Amino acid sequence: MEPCEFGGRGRIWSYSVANFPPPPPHKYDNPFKPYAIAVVDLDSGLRLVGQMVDPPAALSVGAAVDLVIDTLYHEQDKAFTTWKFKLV
Amino acid sequence: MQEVAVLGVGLHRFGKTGDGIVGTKSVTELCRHAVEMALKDAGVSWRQIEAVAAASSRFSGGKGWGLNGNDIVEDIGSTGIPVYNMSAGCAAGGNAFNVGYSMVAGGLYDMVLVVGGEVMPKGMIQTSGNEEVTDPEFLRQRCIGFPGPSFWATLARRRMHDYGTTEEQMAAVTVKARKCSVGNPFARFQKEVTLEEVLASPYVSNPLRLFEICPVSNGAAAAIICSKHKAREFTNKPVWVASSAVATMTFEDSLPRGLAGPAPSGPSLHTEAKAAVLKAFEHAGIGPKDMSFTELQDNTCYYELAFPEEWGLCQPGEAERLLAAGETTPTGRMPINPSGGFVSFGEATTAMGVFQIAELTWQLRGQSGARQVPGAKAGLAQTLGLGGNATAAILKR
Repeated sequence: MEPCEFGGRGRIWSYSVANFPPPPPHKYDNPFKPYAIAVVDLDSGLRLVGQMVDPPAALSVGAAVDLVIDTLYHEQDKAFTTWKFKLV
Repeated sequence: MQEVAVLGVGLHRFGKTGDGIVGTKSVTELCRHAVEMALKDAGVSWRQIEAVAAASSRFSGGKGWGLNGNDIVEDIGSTGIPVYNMSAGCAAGGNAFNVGYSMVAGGLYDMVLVVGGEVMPKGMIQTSGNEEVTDPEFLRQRCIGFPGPSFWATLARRRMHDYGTTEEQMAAVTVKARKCSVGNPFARFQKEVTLEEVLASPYVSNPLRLFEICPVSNGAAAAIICSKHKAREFTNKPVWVASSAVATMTFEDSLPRGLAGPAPSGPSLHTEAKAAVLKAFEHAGIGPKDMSFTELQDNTCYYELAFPEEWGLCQPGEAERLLAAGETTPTGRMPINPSGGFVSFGEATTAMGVFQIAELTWQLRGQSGARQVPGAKAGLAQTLGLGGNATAAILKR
């Protein structure tokens, strides 16, 4: 095995919407805002799951996306970030 | 290998903590009811039980609620018998049945109790209680928030893309399931719902709605299984176990179960469920066309459409048409979940694989009343659990 780099570009295989807050250990900022979760096939051959930055209504299966870093929640005046996807 | 029979079955009706059905009963009380019913049904005394195969929900990475088979034995009578606690997520009930079956088939015991039961925590099931950054399930829930309903909604959305399945067609699965539950004394929900009511229920995870996803329930199920020569002492019409199989997922599996994996080139389906069902067909020496009916794990309506296609009960993309034509009802050509399924019972995780054995047994004896599959000769049961676990069993008369 060797380390390999994967690019951030891919296409949505499918997606869902979290219409209700997921149970712990998930963390989110109040008030809860529904968000989309995409399963993305990256061009590099990896299938990756992540939240979408874009609103659910803007999504479609097959749409091109990029990996980005975005805020997940705030705690004690600190922003905690994670990987997410954004429509190209 | 000796032949194995199902001699007796029992259930405690499913309900929700605090309601008029299960109230504040503990998991031990629920199981006691199911076990006593199964013993009575079999005509067997507690002292004749030689071992217990219990479905335990204390799953690695899980929250640790649930059944411990030793509590059941201590409650009913400490006769000193061995207790095997099996954990396989929501497939635990099916797993316990398989272990009980294997021990009787292998000649180790002649009479075994298989039991599962739960008092479930409220709300969506928490799959990670472990705040450990090396645990992929913790990272998935903390960084994304991807509980069961979101996973199922992702698969449902993909089916809509692949086959043009509509939200009305998915809602129609629930309408059919709830129609089956009417008159089933063990179902939590026993009333019909209309298509409009299903479509008016809120999205839990778009495109799936509240009435299309099984809630968590409290309940218990028990089955007494025994060897052929033992069965002859109690009945001249036993229900036979044609096969029982367990499988886990394989490399080519491409469902989004973790954070990341290789993008697949083939179809995306539950490899563990397909493998368990195909093994069950192979071991039984009978195939999908011989199944009078199927009880499958319908955590959501998506599975009732996808699974029969994946296992060869019907052709890919055909499920919606069969549903619309009434072929999946108890009197159709391919009856699915005549009990009403998880959508009508709610999920008491470890009870489910054993609940299916009870339904199969009643159907094959012709005791299922309004939901009876006419002339049922063989039935298939299937469960699926976190961690890539699946089980399948075929019973016949």
